[in-house]
Amino acid sequence: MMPADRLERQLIEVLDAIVLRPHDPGAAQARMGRWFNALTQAMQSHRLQGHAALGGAHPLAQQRELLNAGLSSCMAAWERQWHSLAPVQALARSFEDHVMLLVFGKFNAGKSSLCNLLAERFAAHGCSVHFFRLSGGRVEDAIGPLPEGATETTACVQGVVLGERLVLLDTPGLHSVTPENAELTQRFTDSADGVLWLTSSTSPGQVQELGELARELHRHKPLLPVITRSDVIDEDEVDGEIVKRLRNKSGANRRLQQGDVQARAQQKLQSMGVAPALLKPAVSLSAHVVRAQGQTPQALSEGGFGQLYVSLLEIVEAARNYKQRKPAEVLLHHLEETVLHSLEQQLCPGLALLGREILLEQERLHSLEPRLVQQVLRQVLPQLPALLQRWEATQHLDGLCADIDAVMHSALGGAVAELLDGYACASVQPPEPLRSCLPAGLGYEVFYADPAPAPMFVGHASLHAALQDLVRERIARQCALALACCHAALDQVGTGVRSLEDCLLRQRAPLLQIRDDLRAGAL
Amino acid sequence: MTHSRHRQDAELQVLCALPGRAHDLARLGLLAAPGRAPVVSVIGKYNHGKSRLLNELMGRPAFSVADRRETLVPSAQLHAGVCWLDAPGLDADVDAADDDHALQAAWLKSDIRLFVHAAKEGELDAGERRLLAALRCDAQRSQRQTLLVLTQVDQLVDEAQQQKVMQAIALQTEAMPLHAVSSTRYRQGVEAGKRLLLERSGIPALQLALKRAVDGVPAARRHEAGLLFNEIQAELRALQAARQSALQVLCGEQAGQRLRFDADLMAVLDKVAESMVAVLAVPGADHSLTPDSLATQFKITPGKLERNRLQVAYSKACIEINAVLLKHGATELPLAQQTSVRSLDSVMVAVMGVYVKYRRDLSEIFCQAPGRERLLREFSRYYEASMDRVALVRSVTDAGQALRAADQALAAHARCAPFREAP
Repeated sequence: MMPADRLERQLIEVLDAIVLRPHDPGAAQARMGRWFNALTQAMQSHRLQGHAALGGAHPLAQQRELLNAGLSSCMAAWERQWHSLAPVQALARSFEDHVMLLVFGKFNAGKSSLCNLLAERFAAHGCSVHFFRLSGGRVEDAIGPLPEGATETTACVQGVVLGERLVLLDTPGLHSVTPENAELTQRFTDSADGVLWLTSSTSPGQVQELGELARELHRHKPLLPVITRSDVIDEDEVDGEIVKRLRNKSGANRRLQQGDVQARAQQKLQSMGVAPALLKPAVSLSAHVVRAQGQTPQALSEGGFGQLYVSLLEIVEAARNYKQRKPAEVLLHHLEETVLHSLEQQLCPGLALLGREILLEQERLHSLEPRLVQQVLRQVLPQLPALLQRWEATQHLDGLCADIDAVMHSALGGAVAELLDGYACASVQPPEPLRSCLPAGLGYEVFYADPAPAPMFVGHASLHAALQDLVRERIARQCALALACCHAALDQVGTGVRSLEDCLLRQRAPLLQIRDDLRAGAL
Repeated sequence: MTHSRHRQDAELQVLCALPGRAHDLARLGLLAAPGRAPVVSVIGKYNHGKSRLLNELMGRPAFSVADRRETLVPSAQLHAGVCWLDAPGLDADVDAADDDHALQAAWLKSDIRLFVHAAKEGELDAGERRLLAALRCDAQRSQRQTLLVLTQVDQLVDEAQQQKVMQAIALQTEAMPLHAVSSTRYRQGVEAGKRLLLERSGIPALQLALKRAVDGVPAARRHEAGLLFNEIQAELRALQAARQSALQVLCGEQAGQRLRFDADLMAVLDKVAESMVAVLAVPGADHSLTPDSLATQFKITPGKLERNRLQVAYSKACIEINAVLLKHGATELPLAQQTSVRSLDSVMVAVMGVYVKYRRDLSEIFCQAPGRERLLREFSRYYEASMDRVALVRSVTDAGQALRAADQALAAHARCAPFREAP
């Protein structure tokens, strides 16, 4: 490998010579626009419809309304979020001809320290160096190098422009991100073209952190692991005092750590479904030792900066490829993440749940039918003897049947209200009165003595038997009707749920096709 | 041997009753095992010097070390009457399987936890803070101690930096005692006889603190065993009480239903008897016994009239009684008795029979004590054989079994009361 200072110069030269000419995103944009319109139309036409029989207070109806509301708020949010991309796009535009690398890692990974040292190296070659801070969505000048420390010191998004072409973006450390700056951080990491993942040599490669980078990695941005603080203090006791000597970790030690980080990072990326080619070989360095040794060419080489520059050259090239597609990529990210992903996150679980609950409720109703019928019959049938008795003197069938109708109505109404709570079923009263169903010629059996005008006694055995059968049949029919009404309502909502789910599923493939075409350079 | 097998059986019974207490029961089992050495485990991020530290504390290179994630499974070494448990570090692995092992070691097996953090990393990160907070909470409850150890202090630039880091951590941990150590200094001091390095290694001081903690382990174990035992006992008692009351509710329902049936049945039999007495109290000859002749078959004879009158009275009585049976769901015959003739498969037909009832029959069946007793007996029997009643009996039986299981679990648990440790 070349000495570090020559690599430094080579890096600067390559950066200066870089030409960043993004492709015209027009064709891609048009296609994406069409996809988006198709999606919104499909969502609108598949809104979940209500049903008269499923009362508003029923838990399933409420779930349905929640989902509809969720769908509406998703769609409203897309508009807002597209506009909120403006500062990101502004930032992207202001750095349109720069390669932006995100410097990512925990608060104690030495990000600011590395950025500051690189700034000094560029300055040493006569390049311009320019610190900035992002505040209120705008780029502001910052005075002096980035603050360094062993506790959380980076409270805002900040960075440094190295020369004419390279930008390093430093964000608040992982685990120290407050709710306020979390959103800000996410928005501005959008604008990066590649990622430097800094991880401290004391506990190198805490691969859970890569989960936080999921979005960037799925957007196909290259990733370079940098093991920082790769130094050791040797101690000795000399003349009654403890003497310390700072040195770089040995080559063997560094290779050990790099191999370990590489292996586990590969595993993690695989489990995230990210292309393994995005991961560049890890490098180890110590900014601390380089400074302590006066930033000489030899110190730079031994400190691992030679390898860093080689890797930076590679990652800058990979980032440049990404950048050419960037304008279209930004729109694609919005559609994939904000639009489609949010739909899937917010709607799909709720839809699946509602579908399952509808099935459960239908089962419940099925098993409910015999119980419903039994409950009503046990209330109505025992009352028949007394009613028959009441009308025995006059043998007035109209009155008797009207009474029975009233009893049935009340019992049915009560049972339906109790067991089919929440359903607004059509009236439980049979359309035709009981009287009209009584077979002709059926009535009380009146026995006369011969010859005598007045009856001797009245029987009602066959009348009772016939009434009992009629009542059973009518109640069974009414219960079945009521339940059929509930089932119809549930079926309709269930069908609506399934068709919305299918519709969502169908939206994904065309967008992925657009993405693949874009990355293959076909757009 | 027998002791532990009995113990295992008892544990199983309690586990069946309280599946949520699996971890506590395992811990109780460990605490009860006689002659177990105090267990010291290390916990913390990988590569922060846990294995090195254990090696120095034991005085032997028993655990393997390297400047990368090395420890993959927990391993234990017995030394100087103490069991030293090395566990994999946190946050190394994709699947978090490492983390599970490490946490299991911390929670289930150890009496004393050494929480290790490398000084060079600065203050604790959010994951470390959460874990430490949980360990301290546990310490308050179970009296198991956690010692906070700052390792690799030799890697700091100077004393001032060490103070800065220690102060920052003190703020995060509410001034929990912090033991600053360096395994490297200690090793160098021992091997090359360098007195100052040895002194400044912090290892002898940590060993002293550890010894004090280890001495406190028997008492802590007794406390924790007592605590767990009582908690589980209280939960078992609550379970027993809940099942007891559930059984009582079912029995109450069972008795109440029967009372209501009896009341309705007796009332209807009384009413029917009264009406029947009135019907039968007609003076004069019993014309119903006079058969019809060819000449009179189309005329309304006194015989026919009387037979009809009796028939009407009888069917009214049956309709009344059947109404009560309907109300209490006792009209159907039990499955075993059902025939293929549906119209005869009713309790009324089974009890009353299908023969024609004359005056004497009606009087015997409804108006006289033996007949009435028979009706009460028969209808009650079919009532108890009805589907709903049989199902209720099953529920009561099940509830009784559940209560017995709770009783047995409570008794089994009582047999596992913690014994005194050998001094």
